[in-house]
Amino acid sequence: MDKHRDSTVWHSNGITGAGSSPDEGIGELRDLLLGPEKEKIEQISQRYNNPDQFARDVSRILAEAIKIRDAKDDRIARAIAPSMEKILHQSVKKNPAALANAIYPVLGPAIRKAISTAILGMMQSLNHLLNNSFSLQSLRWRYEAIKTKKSFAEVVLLHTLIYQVEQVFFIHRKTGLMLAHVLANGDKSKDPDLVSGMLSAIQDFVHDSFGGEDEDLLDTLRIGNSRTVWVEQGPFAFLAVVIRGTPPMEFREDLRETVETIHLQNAEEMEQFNGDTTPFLRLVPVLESCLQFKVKETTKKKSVFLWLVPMVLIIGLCFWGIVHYQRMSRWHNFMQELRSASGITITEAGRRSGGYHIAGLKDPLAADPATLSDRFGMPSESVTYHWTPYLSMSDNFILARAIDALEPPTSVEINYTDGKLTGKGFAGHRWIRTAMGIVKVIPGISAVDFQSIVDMDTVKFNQLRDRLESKIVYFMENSKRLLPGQEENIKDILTIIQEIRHLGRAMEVPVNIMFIGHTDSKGSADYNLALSRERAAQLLNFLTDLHISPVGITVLGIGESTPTDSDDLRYEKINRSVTFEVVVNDAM
Amino acid sequence: MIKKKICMLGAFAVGKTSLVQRYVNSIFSDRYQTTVGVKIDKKTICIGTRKLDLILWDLNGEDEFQEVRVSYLRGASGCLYVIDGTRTATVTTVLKLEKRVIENLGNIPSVFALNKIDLSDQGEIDTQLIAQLEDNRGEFVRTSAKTGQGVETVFQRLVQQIMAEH
Ligand SMILES: Nc1nc2c(ncn2[C@@H]2O[C@H](COP(=O)(O)OP(=O)(O)OP(=O)(O)O)[C@@H](O)[C@H]2O)c(=O)[nH]1
Ligand SMILES: [Mg+2]
Repeated sequence: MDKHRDSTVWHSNGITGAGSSPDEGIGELRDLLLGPEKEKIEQISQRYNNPDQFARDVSRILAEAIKIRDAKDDRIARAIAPSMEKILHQSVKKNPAALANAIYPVLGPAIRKAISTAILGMMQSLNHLLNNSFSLQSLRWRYEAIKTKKSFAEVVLLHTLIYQVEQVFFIHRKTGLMLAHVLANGDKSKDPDLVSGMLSAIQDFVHDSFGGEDEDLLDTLRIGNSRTVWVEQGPFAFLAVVIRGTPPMEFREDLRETVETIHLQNAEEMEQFNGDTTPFLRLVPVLESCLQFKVKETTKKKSVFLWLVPMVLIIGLCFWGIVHYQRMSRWHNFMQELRSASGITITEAGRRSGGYHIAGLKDPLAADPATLSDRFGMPSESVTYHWTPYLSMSDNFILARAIDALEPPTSVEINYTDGKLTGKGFAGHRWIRTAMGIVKVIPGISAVDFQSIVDMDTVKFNQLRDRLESKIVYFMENSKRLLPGQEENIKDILTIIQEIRHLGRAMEVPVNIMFIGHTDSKGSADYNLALSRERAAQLLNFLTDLHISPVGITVLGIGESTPTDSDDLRYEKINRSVTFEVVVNDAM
Repeated sequence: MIKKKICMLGAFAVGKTSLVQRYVNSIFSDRYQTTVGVKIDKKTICIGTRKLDLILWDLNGEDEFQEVRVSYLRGASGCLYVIDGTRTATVTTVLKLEKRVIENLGNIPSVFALNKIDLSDQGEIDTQLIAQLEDNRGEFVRTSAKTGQGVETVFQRLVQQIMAEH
């Protein structure tokens, strides 16, 4: 600058000097040549000589000049830096609060940015770590991360962080007086004024005891395991929030932001606070925005499964209910049937260890419950029976038992009423005899009437007897020789005797057949008696030759004692004969 | 709503806690439990139609082991200096504290309480010293936390001064 001025002086001297020089011709020439420019040059020199004007001129181009130079190199910055530092130092020495308050609003965001960068780095390394861990949980979270387009670590953090802000205090730093306070709904608090006082007293205590620097203030208080108090400092007041659970670090940033904005808008009131808290009522909505809470978000994501599971459960329950009801009613019906069944008395029934158990008394003749249970749709293997045998005294059981014991042939019908067993129809002699013996020992039978049962054997026996007893074998006169031509008759007799004997054995009755010899009335009685005997013996001999056993046959001669009562000659022949008689040695 | 911070100052066992308890909860106990650090209580009073919250900082007594923290005094609107009428030494302590308050906070509203007046037969303090204090300090009230005598008055006087400044 000084240099410029010198040159100017020199220049003007030159001009004035020229005017007084002897070489006037040159001066005139110069005037002629440079006439119009001379005026301009004078104007320029005036501008340079006037500092005000010069400053104004420089200011017009200063910004442009700096810009141009800055683009070229950093000489300007280097030139100014020392002065700037000096200025800042002086300013801080004079009044630190001014600078602090000035940069306070930018400080917060700057720090926040630095921290979030740091957290980002941490998250990335966390991501890497978690990428290597593998579990069902992490799979689910990974899926969620893909779905929500968040980083996996963020999702993990989200799941681990649950918290609720219960109270927010805004406390005047200098007096420790509470400026504003909000509570999460439903919560109860001790007098917030006292809490505020104590909080600031504790801060003072901590600061006095441990901290030297102004920034060394309490920022976290732990209460037991579940609660924390976060303190966020501002120049004039601080925010204290009571939090249940673990809040995320971003919440710290929210608090910082809140303190900053409150300070930006209310600094004056806070600085001049004299106990009147009314102006701070308007902070309540701001503080309420700090009453944050976070719940596990997964519950929402899981909701599809959450209602699916009960649905399946309910359907399953309904199905089970129906099946159970059906099974119960089957069982109920079966039991009813079983209870009403005769010959069965149930003493105990129920479900035990997966199967049905029935205990009671059962007549051996009662219907098999297994077939019953099949009819009611209950698989017979699902029921276990514990029967104690007994005899039922009901009529049909006595009858059934009797029929069971007597085994009557189909031609016999047996009935039972009032202790009396009756029978009718036809049966063999032997069956009737046995039945009469057995029937007496069957319980419940006090009387028997088998009168109406016809003994078929006896009938047949009597027929055979009648036939035999009507037979006559003829002899020659005064001889024990048979009249010829009786072969058919004797064959007949032979068959009848065999049948009678057979039947008698079957009926277990001893049968005796008598051959009775006869004579006519000619000759002496003694002679005739002997002859009649010989005739019977002769017939027996004759029959024995035809393989008839003589056992059970009695030979008898009665002479002329029972003649036919006619004198007719024809009857003489009848009297020369042998007749038969069947004797049974048993009362039939 | 107006809130004012008031500090209770004095030597140990002069009855600072007892005066606060009498004033706030209307109770008195013979048991002595020394205050460590500070205990804060609140009393809401009405002045005309306005409500006033007194936030009472009951500080620990000043003795050779425990000094009253200056930081606790910060922002106080008034001080209540308590003297134990049975112990002369408590006067010296109070004056020392008064000096510290004025150094840090300037001339803020203050009242003196000559406590345990119910034990006046054991009164140890020289009557001349008391008279001198009464003359020099505008507000000087005889109190007993035990009987309740002067307790309302001493706080009322302090509030009046504070509100005059407000
Ligand atoms: N008789 C009587 N006893 C009092 C009175 N005030 C306090 N005391 C008793 O004096 C003792 C000390 O009282 P505090 O109120 O605890 O004293 P302080 O000033 O709070 O004591 P520090 O907290 O240790 O500084 C207690 O045993 C009280 O019962 C009073 O007015 N009359
Ligand atoms: Mg105490």
